[in-house]
Amino acid sequence: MEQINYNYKGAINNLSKIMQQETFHKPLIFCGKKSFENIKPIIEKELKRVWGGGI
Amino acid sequence: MYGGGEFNSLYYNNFACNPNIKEITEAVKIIQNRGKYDVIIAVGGGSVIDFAKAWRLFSKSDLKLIAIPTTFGTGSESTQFAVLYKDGKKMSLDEKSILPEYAVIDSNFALNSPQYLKACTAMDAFCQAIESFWAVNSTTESMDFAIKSISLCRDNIIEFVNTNNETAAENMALASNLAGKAINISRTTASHALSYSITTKYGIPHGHAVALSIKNLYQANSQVSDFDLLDIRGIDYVKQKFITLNNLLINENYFDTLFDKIHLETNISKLGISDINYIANNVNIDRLSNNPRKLDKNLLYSLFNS
Repeated sequence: MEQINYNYKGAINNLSKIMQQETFHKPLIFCGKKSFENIKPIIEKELKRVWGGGI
Repeated sequence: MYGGGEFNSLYYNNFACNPNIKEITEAVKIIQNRGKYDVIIAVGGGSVIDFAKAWRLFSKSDLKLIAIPTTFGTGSESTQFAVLYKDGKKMSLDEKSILPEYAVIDSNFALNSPQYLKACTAMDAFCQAIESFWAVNSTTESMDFAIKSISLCRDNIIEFVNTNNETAAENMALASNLAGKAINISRTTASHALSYSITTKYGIPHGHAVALSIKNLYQANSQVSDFDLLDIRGIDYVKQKFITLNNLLINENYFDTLFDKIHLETNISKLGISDINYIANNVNIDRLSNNPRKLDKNLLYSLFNS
């Protein structure tokens, strides 16, 4: 089961709204080294959810 | 750097806290074929968001930027500044086009952060708001943002630093965002002007470095006179600002209690800071000239007295 860090949930939901509204689907993501492992799987999952598994 | 599998995404994290020009230059070279991307997302503390802003500027990119701060202090998501270091010296990009188009504020990021990190970031926001309020370049709009931020900091900072109270975290996230909006108009003043060399020479985190002089700066600025006033709006106008601040129960005596309750050491000897002359000589002149009172060398030295 994929571990979702609760702390990122609200932000990801809001990010998802912006991505859908603007039809963004090819992000260039800058993140801190510490955040990387937490953020990557969540954003990947969100992209999959928003764009149905591929572009 | 990681390319995201089935999606055309790229994760870039080849930079350290307090990023430097060399790291930005490298990122501009490495991230090629920019047409592959349609948006920039920056997730992290002020350094990460500033790095993304700088990359966008130096790459001449017209992609929109979504900032998601995970610490609450710099207000970087709501400013047109990006702090970078060159040869150990702090530089600040100041360019309207680097202001993020979107900011996602989620105070949950701050919960469970280390107490010291929360104290440093919260003090950065608090000092930004206070400095913005008395800044020479303040406007009615910036002072409105600043007052709201100061009130939120006053009411929430101690609980935010010492507990995982969600309401306190939400209020401090908002306070940080408002402080960012305030300094985006007014810029900061002497405490920030002095802080940069403290961070580069002694490795003291930015928010802690700023906090070291705020108490004495408050006292010094509240004693401004016609002889050393820099704000052309006049002495009565500036004096009225200190009446407003005192009515918010923020005065120089307030800070001793605050620092004690958020466990922030402000004795510079205990922090290993010995060369005040170096700090005074490397003060940021631009920010110093935005202080309502002209500060000579002796006054600058006095800001670090215990």
